[in-house]
Amino acid sequence: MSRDQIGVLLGFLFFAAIIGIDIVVFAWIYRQRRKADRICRELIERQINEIKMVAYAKFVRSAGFNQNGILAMFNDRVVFRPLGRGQILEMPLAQISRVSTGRFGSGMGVIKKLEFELGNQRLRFYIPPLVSSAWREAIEKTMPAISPRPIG
Amino acid sequence: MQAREMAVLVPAVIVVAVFLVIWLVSALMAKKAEIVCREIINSHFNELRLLNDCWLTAGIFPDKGILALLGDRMVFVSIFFNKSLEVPLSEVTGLKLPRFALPDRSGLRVLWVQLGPRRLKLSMNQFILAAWKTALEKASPMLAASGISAGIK
Repeated sequence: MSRDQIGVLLGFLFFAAIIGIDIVVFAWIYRQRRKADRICRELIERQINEIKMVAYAKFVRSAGFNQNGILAMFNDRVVFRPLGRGQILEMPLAQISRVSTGRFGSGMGVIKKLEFELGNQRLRFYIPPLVSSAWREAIEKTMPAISPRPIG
Repeated sequence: MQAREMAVLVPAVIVVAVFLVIWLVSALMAKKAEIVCREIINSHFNELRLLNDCWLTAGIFPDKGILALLGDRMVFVSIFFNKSLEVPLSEVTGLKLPRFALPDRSGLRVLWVQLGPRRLKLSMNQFILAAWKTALEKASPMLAASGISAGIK
């Protein structure tokens, strides 16, 4: 095989690899989206009168990878339902002692930090930046005794 | 200053200026969104059902803002301009969510809301759009009465 032929073959393999990676990523997103659709439908159909807000969020775990999921706020609790494997997190509003949002968005303003303090436990989520203040405001409104000062 | 130094400096200044403008616009948008969200939460918290950021196209050009689903209406407040749009849920006659739309890099997905002869295009996060579709189906009297939303594919 000549050097020209090897060059053409390598170029072809490079494009095939890029297209292959794209297809795998799209398939993964499509699968995640179907799971998200099912979770959203379940949340709304069962508890439309209770629900206040829904957002796509990332749960920051101290060990391991971040977990993508749907964060929903109800009249009396905040629920995080992961899209992958993992436990459903339920945070009663009565147990949340403090809530804060990050000052700056990260990743070119794609995500913003939302942090809850439940006793000794701190739970950190990344949510869309434009609605992060609505989340903080809504939780503070539900819990008038909550301290609005930032954590840390 | 020599021409060679200028040739490096000018593009660098332009790049920095472009990033500064993007950063400034993002910061202003975030500030406006914060004010809008606070206003909606403070004045309509009891009837709030859903609240998200979205792109709304009512005419030709899309507009970014905060969309809130309240008890009997949908409110969109723009964060680019000083305008808002209020749509009574009784006017919603159909919804259309393309089922097999491929995911794209923007992470957005489109929901068409039919309001009699005109329609609105909502582009929002692909993972929560189903929540809006289900909530609108349940909250709109016309769609709830018919059981299925007209025009859904």
